[in-house]
Amino acid sequence: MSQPIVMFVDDSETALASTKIATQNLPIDVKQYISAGDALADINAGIIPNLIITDLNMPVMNGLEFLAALRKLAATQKTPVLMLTTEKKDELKAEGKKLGLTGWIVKPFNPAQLKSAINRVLRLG
Amino acid sequence: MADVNSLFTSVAHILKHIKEVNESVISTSDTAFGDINQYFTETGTELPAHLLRALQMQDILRQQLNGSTEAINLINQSIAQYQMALKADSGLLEESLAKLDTKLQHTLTEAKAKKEAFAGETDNEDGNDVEFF
Repeated sequence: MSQPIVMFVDDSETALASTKIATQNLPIDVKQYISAGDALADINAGIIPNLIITDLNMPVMNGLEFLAALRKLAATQKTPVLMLTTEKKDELKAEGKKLGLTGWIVKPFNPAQLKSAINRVLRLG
Repeated sequence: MADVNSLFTSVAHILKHIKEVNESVISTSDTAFGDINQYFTETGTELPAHLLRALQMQDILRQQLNGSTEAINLINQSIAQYQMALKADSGLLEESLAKLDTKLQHTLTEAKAKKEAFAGETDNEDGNDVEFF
């Protein structure tokens, strides 16, 4: 059986490397993107994620704009999305919630908590 | 008049220097992170939570320095515009200074907002809770 696809989107390669190290022992297929546009291109090409974990502050398209774009696509209308960001403002969380965001993680993350969040969303057991 | 111009030129040069230091620190830090990352990737060694946290701090540091570099770029742009305006009409000294002041204050406000936005919650040593909606 194929592993669930988890897309990580962050304009920082360092941040992507950190999440990769943290999740290396999970039974998931990790895909990493340096921009929301790159992730959308793959989704439009038929790669359908089971979970998306995205940064908020990114150039061109930020995490909330990305989330809004995902909700407009039939393939990702209901895909769980977690925001992984240094931002902690309540108004941004509220905006995300309105767009159907699944959850919010403030950086720096604890690897055990990140893994537990992924397990919870994907019900990996 | 020449003194005011000279003063702003000096300020612009100092800021440019700080920007170069920022960029150099980011580059050095990226190299260090790359080496550490390569080691853990190649050896498959599991990284202890506190070390992973330290690596993420590097990213926060990088974002903060980038934020201050962006502010420096905006300040230097404002100074250049001010100097151009004065060159065109030296009678506009006061008006140009007032405009420059407004722009600099706006840049400071934006820079402070970015500092907050990029700070994360580094004080919580146990890691930050995941908030589910």
